[in-house]
Amino acid sequence: MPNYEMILSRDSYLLAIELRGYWAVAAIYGLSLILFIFHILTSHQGVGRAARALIWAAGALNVALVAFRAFEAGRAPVYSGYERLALFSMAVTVTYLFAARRFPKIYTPGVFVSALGFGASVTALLIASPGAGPVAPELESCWFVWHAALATVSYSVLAVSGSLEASAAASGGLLRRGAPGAIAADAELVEGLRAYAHRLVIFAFPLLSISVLAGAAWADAAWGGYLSLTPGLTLPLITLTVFAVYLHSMAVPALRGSLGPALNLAGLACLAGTLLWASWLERLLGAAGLYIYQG
Amino acid sequence: MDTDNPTTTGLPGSGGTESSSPRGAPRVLYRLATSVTTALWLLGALAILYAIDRVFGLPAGPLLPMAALALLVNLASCVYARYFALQGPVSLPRDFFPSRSILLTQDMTDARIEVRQTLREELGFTLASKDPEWVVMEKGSNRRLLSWLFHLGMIVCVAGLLISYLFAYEGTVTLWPDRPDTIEPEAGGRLIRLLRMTPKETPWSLVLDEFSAEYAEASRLEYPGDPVSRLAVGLGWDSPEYSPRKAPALKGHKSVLRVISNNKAVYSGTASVNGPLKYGGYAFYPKTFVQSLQIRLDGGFLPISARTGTEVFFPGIGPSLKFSTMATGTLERMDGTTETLAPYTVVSKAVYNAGGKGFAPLDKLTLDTGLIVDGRLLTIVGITEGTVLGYRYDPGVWPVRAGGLLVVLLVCARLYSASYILAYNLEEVDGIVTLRLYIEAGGFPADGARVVQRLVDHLTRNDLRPAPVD
Repeated sequence: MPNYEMILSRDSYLLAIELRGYWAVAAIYGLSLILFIFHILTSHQGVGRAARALIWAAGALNVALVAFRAFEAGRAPVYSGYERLALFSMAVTVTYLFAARRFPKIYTPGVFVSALGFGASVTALLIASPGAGPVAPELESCWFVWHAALATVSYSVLAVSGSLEASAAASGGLLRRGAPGAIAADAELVEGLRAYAHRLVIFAFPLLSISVLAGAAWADAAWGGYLSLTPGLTLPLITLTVFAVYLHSMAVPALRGSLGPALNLAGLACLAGTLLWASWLERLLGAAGLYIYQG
Repeated sequence: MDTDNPTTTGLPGSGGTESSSPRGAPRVLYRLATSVTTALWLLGALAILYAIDRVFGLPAGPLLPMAALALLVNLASCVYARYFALQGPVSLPRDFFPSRSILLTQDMTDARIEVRQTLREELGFTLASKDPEWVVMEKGSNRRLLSWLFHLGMIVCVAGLLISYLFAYEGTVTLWPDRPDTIEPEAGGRLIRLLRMTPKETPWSLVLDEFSAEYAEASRLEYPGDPVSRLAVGLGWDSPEYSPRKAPALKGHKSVLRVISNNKAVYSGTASVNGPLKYGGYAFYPKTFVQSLQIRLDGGFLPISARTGTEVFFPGIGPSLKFSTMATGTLERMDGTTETLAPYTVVSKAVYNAGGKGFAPLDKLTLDTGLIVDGRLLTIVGITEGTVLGYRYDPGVWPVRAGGLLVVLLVCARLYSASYILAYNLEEVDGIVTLRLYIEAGGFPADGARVVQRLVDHLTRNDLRPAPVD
């Protein structure tokens, strides 16, 4: 069956290229993370600029790899844990670079973004299976595609929001202690970071709502229980609830300055939990999922 | 007035009518029920309880539905209270500070006219309310109405969730061709179980008309599992490799079903993966399928039925035999072509060893050939495929869908549209007029600072400015 040998050989070759490219992306994220940490410790703006340049490179390569994957598999790259992690690391980088235009000299949020990009890449490469085989029948649903794609995009925006909030919290702490640092400690800047973080949540919340609804519709069509979901699907609902509490608290003047930021950071923890659960924690706790993923 | 309510929700006492709020003893409960802080607590509790129940698999008991019920009461109370607030004027928070003060060169009369004209004609604001101290204007989407409708949708959604929790139940049914069967649930929903009742058998029956399966040629990835080997692949020292799988992968299966009531066919449809059959409040989902082979022994008259995957005893043949599932239907090749499968089953014989009982494969058996085992000839004379369907009865699905859709549409409308509330007043001290502004911007595209700057630029456009120094 020479035809099949050619097909399999071609697929193997394309996968080898993709994996090498993705390892390079992970390495660049890791290097960028080190430089961002160095920048925070030394306040050196040049190091911050270099770190951001590396994140640009990682993001560009990541975009190319996601597009390559879509070409290689002949479908949207949302069906396996490997694909979703690659999509997430790409989306969080792109969102950060977009938000960074507002705060060109502030590099602190980059440390969280590069950490997330590095973590997602390493998890995908070490834990997930990169195979682009046939899709499990239950996953062949447009509801699933929308659910997975919108969840990934909204998570990335919320992650950047959490990064800005964490940077504002760190800046605020430095301000209160009167300590200088790599973070430009300025009250107006801290408020600007918080306000922009709030705007990002406002943008991402409807997308996450649509994702949860699409996930419930898919589960109802596939298994009949829209709430009989695995942790990988219920965690977005919990994340949505946390951010709903955040938006409510930001609308109450008395809670805006205290509870709001804490909830944004709690939401960031939920995101990290969702990403980790499908891989590390499931293996650690031996928690099998009903969710049929490929690889 | 509820102190923790955001600005423009305008609960009774802050803009609504006094007759809309209860008096006396229930007043405290009413204020608690309509409080945003209560909603925050309940949402937080729901998130934690849901995580405990669904993520960590620890039983949350009745706490989860109790929290959902409490949220439903909170939502209903808020919707009731906000309905009256919608009738009233837009109000501002009790404690707010003007965000900007601008000195104007106009006199008081001109300033009053020009400010209102600029806000109306240049910036598109409309008068919302005014009192002796402040004039309140608004622009953009009606966020009070959108928020109210959104919370109404949430009520429908949460009510649907509670209905599902109390009344939904599920089970499985196996259907063979030409053998109608009713649905006899073993146990009903939580409420029915609590009342120690059992749901009734359906008055209609279901029969399988046709079953078909689709397979696809699949590959297997030879890829190391340990991190070091994976790093070697990343560095180019090793390569992943796809190899063909021996058995095709099941791509999907469909069951054509007919509903029979009073000996008449009343409905017909297909249950497929991601496409359940719905009838009588039930939804039927294909789970798996079963096969029964009719095996003739030595050309005998009566064939023996053998369910694939289960142990079968034949007279004169060793301990027992097992037949693997026959792949029937169509096969999609890797090159995109499709062909009809030539089905076969692998016959295995029971063997006893130190480890216990196992089954050792003997040979393939197809529809066209025979197989001799222990001197006896086995031939397949027929194959019957049945479908195993999961069913679910859930009256809460439609309220959740309708409420969910409403909520999503309104959340998008509320958060993706800009809305502004602007309050201003003018005061004159020693002949100098000061404009004080407070602005609230809602929605992603909103930019309150830009609106204020446009207002200021317009009001000060005729002011004298220092000439630029060369």
